[in-house]
Amino acid sequence: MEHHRDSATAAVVAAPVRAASPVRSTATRIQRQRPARLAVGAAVGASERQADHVAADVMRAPSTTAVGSGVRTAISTRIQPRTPRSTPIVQREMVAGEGWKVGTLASWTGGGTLTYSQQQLDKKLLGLTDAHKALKTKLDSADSGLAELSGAKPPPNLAEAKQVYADWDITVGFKQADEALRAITGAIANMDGVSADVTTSYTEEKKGLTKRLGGGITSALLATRTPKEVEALAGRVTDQTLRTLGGGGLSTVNLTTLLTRINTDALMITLGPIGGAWLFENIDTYPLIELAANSTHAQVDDVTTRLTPEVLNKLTPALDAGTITSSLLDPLSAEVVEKLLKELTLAQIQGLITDLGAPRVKAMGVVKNNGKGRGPELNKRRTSLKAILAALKANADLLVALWTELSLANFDKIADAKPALEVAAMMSGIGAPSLLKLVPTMTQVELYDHAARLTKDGLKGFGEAMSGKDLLAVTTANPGRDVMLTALGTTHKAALAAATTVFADVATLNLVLDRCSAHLDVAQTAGFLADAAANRWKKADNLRAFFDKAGANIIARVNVAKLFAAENDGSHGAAAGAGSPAGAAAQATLGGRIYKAAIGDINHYMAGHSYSHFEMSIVNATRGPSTMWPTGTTRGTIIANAQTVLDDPAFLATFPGNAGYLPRDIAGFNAGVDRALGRITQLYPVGGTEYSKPVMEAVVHLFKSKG
Amino acid sequence: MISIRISIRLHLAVDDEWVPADLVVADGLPINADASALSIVIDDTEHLLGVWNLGRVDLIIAQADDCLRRLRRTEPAILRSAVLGVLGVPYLLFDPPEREGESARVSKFFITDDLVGSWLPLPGWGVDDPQDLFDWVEQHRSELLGPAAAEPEDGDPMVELAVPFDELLGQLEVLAATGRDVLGGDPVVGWDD
Repeated sequence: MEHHRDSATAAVVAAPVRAASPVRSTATRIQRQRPARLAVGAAVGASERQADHVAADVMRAPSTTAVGSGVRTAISTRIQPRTPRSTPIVQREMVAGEGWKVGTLASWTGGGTLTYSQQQLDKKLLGLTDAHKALKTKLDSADSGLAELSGAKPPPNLAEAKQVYADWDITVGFKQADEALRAITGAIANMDGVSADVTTSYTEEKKGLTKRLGGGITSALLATRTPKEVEALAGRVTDQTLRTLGGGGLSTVNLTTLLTRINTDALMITLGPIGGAWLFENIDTYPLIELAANSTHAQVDDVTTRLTPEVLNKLTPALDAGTITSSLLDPLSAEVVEKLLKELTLAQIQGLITDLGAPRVKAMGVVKNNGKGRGPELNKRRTSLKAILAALKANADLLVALWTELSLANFDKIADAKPALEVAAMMSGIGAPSLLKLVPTMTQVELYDHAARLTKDGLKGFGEAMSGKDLLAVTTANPGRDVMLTALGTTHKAALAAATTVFADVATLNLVLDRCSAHLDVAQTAGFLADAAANRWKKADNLRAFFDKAGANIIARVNVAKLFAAENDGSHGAAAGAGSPAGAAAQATLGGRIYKAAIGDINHYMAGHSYSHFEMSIVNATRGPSTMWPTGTTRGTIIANAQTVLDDPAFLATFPGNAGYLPRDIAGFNAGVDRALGRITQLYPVGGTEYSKPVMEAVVHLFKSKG
Repeated sequence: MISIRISIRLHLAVDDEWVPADLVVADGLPINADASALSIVIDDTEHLLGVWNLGRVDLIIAQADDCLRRLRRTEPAILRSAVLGVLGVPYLLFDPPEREGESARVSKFFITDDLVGSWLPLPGWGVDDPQDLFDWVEQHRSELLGPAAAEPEDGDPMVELAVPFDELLGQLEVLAATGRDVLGGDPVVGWDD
């Protein structure tokens, strides 16, 4: 549908019937021209006038002087033929879509003698073409007029005239020219009656609309719309709405502006939910008027299409359509603007955009469960939001994340309980990911209680590891555990926070708290948690095994483990060394035989007796008591000590024989000698620190809990 | 009815896991030949398994063979942890029936003596003549099987647990045979019978 018209068009459409739409131009046989605007029943334009004139002229001449044909042969008529010219005239034939075409005399006349001059022939056949065109113009004009009416039916003469036009939309030979011309001019005459009928129908429909809607709005609407369109408009917004619009105090200027600058769809959107009465009451300040007066029609169309009247009414007193589009709709989207306006004023939204930037405000606008009509509650939240926003300017992402992900109810849990600065501090400390997990399953009281007891860092750790429901399970399922947790949250917040970021789940935390609370006081438990966090002792199954092995000796076992942890990351198997495992790291020739400590032997010592390379496996821990080299002992020192043993004068006397295995103390070391191989296969210092198998089992389990 | 079942578990070379010897044999699993564990189930109570790594498989099997020989001669038999160079490891003591028709007895003890504690009941393995070990144990029997054995540090007391002698012999035979399957033949350690 055409939306807007220029002034020239408006002048034309003031006539009873609007111009027709462009018609097809390629399919018809007789050459057509694009119809001009035409008032039905009257010749408009030179071509039509010419067509009418020619048609009348041609009809008179041949019909009175000859019947049937303008070509007379020399032998078939009683009319004395003229003497043929010595120079043949140019022969022409009317060809579909092409008009006149040069042909041969023989093909056209069948060998007869021409009785017309070239001028007569041209006039006759050219007149036929113009008449056919004139009929088409009248048909199109009638169809156009009928299409604009809502109730008029096509007169019978219209169909007959269309048939004539179609019948003669063919290649016409000279012999058919007179017959064709009679039929076409007759149809043209009939079309004058058709046009009169259409005009009458238009007038009647206009009267009907005027009676229903009032003269002002009807005239205004018909200036840019057909009666059928106005009828449809009235059907969508009710007659009363349009009557009110046209007669209720809206100035002619405003009415014209409104109707010419806003497309019909936008008008329907606006008028539909409001109704005429509301529009009338608010007509002087109605946003569309404001928009129309200060914006381009494209801008007005844009905002009226995208925004509801309610939203428009909030925005337009302060902003024109262009500003609304550029500052709100484009960066935020209409949906977000509408949601935010339900809770915030325009000024607040603009403030948010200034403070946070449009993308963040857009995120905030995507609020779940956005309430409607909860006045006091919304005001309260708005106040909270405003205050929190002010306090959280440096961490707006957090607020946006919360606002985006949390329901309003959950947001209220955070925002409504405390002063804004306190809320902001808590939110910053805990962080959005944790809050998002904790808040939905905790009450407001529980949230703040846990934040105070576990610290923000602690709560952050909990939130990263578990839901609020799980956290409550930790703190309420076991009284002893809860007491311990409370005490830790009071006096050892850092340790608690650190540990809770390490343990993978609530079950692990429960395990640790339960076992520790059974044997340790708060400070000792805090110490364990700190050590667990520092060393990432976190796997539940291994921790459970550790506690089983350690029993009441948790601290003692942890202290041993820490000695190992200081030098050993728990990843060592048999200690690696350069060169072949069988190659000598230390050796001596004694009694004509070579004795040595092989590289593999050194590795073996370290895997079983050094803090730095102890193999943290259960199989290693369960061999028996482990006697350790001092902390910090290096491979070089151990090799040197092996050499010391080999160099001891008592070596041969201590390890006599060439078979079996013999461990003995020599030079301050326990040396085990494979006598068949001549190798010191075991070496550790006499008096070195010895850890029993249960101790090392606990240590290994603790190391294996590392994750 | 009291019964005894002895089986050996082996330590996989690539994982810190113990698996039954028959599984190792059946699946050809690579093992750590320096580690082994015995499961001794007496009267539905399991001892040792998962508690002690008893060390070299070949030395365990060699000691099992020696235990069979001695028990068949109605002599006490000893099986020491085959972890070398470490004191405070367990010894198993198998006492034959004092009289025909009576039960054999199984005990576990620890030797705290720095010298004797490294002796295996195999010639050349800590002591040239294993009889020195048997004599020393006999002399210190009451001490070894006293309160310390009743409440050992590993929490697994085994003091003169009565078992059917025939079953004991049968289980040791199974242990020795299984060990040979694992080792692919006789243990390489030698001794003088």
